Amino acid sequence: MNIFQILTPLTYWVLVGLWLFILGFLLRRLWSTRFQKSLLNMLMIILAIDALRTVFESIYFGIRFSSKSGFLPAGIYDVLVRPEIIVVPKMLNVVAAIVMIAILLYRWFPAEKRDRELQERTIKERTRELKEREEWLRLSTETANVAVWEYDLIKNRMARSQNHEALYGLEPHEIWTKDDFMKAVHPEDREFASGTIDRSIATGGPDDFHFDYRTLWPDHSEHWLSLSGRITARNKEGVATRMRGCLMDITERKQAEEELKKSGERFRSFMEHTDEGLFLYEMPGGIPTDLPVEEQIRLLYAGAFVECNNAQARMYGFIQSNELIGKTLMDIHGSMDIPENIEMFTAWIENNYRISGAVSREVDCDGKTVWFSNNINGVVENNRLIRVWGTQIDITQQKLAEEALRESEQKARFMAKLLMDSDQPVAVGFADGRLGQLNPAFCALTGYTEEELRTIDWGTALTPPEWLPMEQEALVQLERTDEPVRYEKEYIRKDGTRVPVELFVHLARDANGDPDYYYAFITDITELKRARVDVLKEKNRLQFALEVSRMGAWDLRVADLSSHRTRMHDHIFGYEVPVPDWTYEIFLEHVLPEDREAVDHNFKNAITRGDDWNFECRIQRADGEIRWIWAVGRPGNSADGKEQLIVGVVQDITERKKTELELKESYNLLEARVEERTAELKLRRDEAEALNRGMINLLKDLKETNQGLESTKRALRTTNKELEAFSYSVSHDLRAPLRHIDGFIELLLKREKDRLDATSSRYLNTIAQSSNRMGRLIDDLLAFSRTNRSEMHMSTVDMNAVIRAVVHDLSTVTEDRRIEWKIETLPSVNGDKSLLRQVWENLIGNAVKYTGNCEEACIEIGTTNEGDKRVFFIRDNGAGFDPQYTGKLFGVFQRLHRDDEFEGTGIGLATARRIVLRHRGKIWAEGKVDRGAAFYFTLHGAE
Amino acid sequence: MDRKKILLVDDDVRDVELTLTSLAEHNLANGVAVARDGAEALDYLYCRGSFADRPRGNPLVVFLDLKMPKVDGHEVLRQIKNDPVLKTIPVVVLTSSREEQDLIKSYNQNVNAYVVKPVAFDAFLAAVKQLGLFWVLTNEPMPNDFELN
Repeated sequence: MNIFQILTPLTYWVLVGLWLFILGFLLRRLWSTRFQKSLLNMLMIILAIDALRTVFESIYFGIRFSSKSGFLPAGIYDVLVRPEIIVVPKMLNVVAAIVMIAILLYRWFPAEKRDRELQERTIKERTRELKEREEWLRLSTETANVAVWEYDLIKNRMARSQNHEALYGLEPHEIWTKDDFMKAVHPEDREFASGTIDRSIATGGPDDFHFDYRTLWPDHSEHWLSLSGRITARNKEGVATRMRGCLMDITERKQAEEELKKSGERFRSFMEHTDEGLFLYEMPGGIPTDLPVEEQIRLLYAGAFVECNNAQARMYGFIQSNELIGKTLMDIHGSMDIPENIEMFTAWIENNYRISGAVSREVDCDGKTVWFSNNINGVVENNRLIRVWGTQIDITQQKLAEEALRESEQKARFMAKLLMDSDQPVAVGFADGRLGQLNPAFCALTGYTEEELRTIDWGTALTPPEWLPMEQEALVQLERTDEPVRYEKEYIRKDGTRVPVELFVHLARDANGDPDYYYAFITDITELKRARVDVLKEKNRLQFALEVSRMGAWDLRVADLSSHRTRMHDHIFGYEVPVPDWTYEIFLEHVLPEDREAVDHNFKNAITRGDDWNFECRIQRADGEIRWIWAVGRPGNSADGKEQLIVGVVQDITERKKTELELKESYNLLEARVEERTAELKLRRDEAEALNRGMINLLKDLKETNQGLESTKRALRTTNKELEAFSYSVSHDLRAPLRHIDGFIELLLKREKDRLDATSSRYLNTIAQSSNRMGRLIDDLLAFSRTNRSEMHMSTVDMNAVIRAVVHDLSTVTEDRRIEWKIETLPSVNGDKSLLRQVWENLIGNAVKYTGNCEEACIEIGTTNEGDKRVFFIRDNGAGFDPQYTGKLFGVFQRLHRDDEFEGTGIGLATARRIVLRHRGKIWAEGKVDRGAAFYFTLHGAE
Repeated sequence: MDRKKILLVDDDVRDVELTLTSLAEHNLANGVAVARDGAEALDYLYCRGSFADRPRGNPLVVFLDLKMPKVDGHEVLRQIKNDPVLKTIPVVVLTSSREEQDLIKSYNQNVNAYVVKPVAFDAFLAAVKQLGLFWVLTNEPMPNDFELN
């Protein structure tokens, strides 16, 4: 049997089974709504698979009926339905069905199961939660005294939780109607309670309502309830038919609120009535606490008062708190530069934003400085300082009082120091003889040290016994009257000597008004006493003088012209017995009428100008005799300074006047003689004056001459300066071109040596020689001019050394010559060394030059004496000169030889002469042609 | 370019030529830098102005004329001798002047030598030769001065 004959039917049956399973599954799931959508998808898949199968089937059936109808060969269908052919699509079908089932099993079946389990679990949990919630609600409503209710307006029935009636203090009722509610509400609250509810019930009323009301419990206690409700259903007209809500006992809350309100009122009252300032200060946005302190303070100043009491506002000079509210610290202080405040805030920040009793110095709105003691608390949230609470007390008065106290203490200390430093002795003494406070001046006065004074009895040790009764009396008087007493006495000093003193004693009483101690200012009056004695002596002396000179003394009161005078005064006016009254008028009557006016005029001058009243006049005495008097008075003030007085003396000068007249006569005689002599003298004087004038003219001339000389000197100095500049420039600038001429000729000669003929070479050599000669000339000229203008530096010059040096310098010239040198030892001279060297250079150089033609040259240097003068000489046996030209020898550029005989510039001897002249000496020469020459010179120090 | 051994400071072109000619006879002319007045001399020594790019190092000797336009020789000498770096450079005054005041002034400013230019060319030649040989070849310069700068 063919395997396909078994496999193919088997495949069909398997297919049937599989599809039945799928069908069953689908039917079972069809009602499960959750999977309806997925099912649809699944059906589409099944339909697709089925369509595939249908295609196959239709092809089979098509072929079968075609072959049956003879359109196709009959055998073809048989081939197709052969089991081994047909099994192929059917196997495909089986695979599709198996895949389908696998999908169903894998995806749907477990999901369904999970779903169911979840659902069951959820229901259980929900139930449990619900129960728990119910329990929670019950517990919470009961414990919180909350009842829930639902009211049906149509039935007038209220469903409610069990504890509902308990809130009214009632036993649970069977039913609860609106009437029950109204009854339970406190009579005073009924109207507004029903009104509120009715408003919500009415058409268009608010759905929600809420109000608090009171209820009176059967035990008459009052309870507060809070009712919240919501309309849950309304009829067509919009009238409520059902409502629901809760009811809560808020008695405790109400009580707390009441308490709070009361305490708030108390607090407000406290705030309003306390003198302490209270404030709340806030910074917008707060201040981060991690900022630097300075920055925090800066932000703090930008905050503002949010709340405060009137006391706080008053501290800043306002009246109402709202005047301060909104102001910043910066507004109030004006700046951040009050150091006390910055210090306080710094401390506050560093102390974690808490500080108490800190003192700030602030400025109120009137600009007055005020002092506060502050308690400040900052509130910090999330590292930001949000607000600042604080209280402050105005302690300005206290501060001022402290200041005043300190000042008064300072003052007291100063006074004490004043007392201690004063040289006015001061001491405190007690009635029992002890001494209290005393100062160094007192020690100095008594000669005791302070320690010693502490141990002695001032009453007995310091005061001599004879002064005690007087002192006692003074102190008794002081105690009786409390008026400070002043008296004089003596102290016994430590060394036993006595010192007169004046005491100014005060009494200090204790709190009971009893005498406590005396304090005394003591003055050493030794000097005063001495002065008094002196005055007395002076007075006596004056008295004596007046008596001896028979002068009367008087003084005149300017106010009423009355006077005091001595007995002698009246006696002068001829009264043997003094007159009781004497006035200016009486005096004037005694003056002779012809003198009276002058005297009176004088007197008035004395009073008005304060001049001395000094006059002589004639008077008629009481006994009728005419006498001369002299009186002098000086205006001044009386000793107490209150009265204007003229104090003076008067003297009878009749005798003196007589003598004066006689003297005057003899004087006149003398005068005439003197005049004669004077005329004679005048004549003589005139002669002398004429002589003087002549002298003066002469002096003037001399001075003018001097001035002329001075200006000449100045001109000379200027010329010298110019000359110097000139030679300097010559020295530099004249030499250079010469050097160039020479140099370039030399180069030319060298270069053209082979091409130049003899004549050209000679010309060039001549040019070179000329330029060399020109160079020498310039050098000599410069040296010559230098001798004139250079400063003289005088010193002791060793002539031997100078000559040695010069001869040595000439050795290049003299080395191939035969020269016999005869050089004496020469004395040193006073002169300018370099100039003298130049003299010798020129003279010796000349000698060497002019002996150039001698076989045996001989040069002699030495000195001779001519009178008291030392003469230096140099002599040679050379060419010599014609004596008739001696005069030309020393001139500049003067030569006695041709250049081709002896080279030279004619300047050397001129230079030597100049130098000798500058040394105030003389130079001269002797010589004959071919018989040698001799040069002599003397020196006399500087010009 | 080699460092110059001699700095010749002279305003007179003829003098410069003569001096260089003299030095050339002794093969020293190549090592000569010429400054035509005091200002140029200082520029040379301080390597500034037109001498900013010259090879570094001080010359072995400075031949210095005195009478020059702008900055004269005395001033140049003063600046050299007062400069801590330059003061070791030997300075030889080479001048026409035999004036006493010039001598005194130069020696007071620590000049190393003072030579009056002779008028006669052979003497001049001899003087320049001596100076060149002595300062460039005979004299030992300050150790660091020439080698390291």
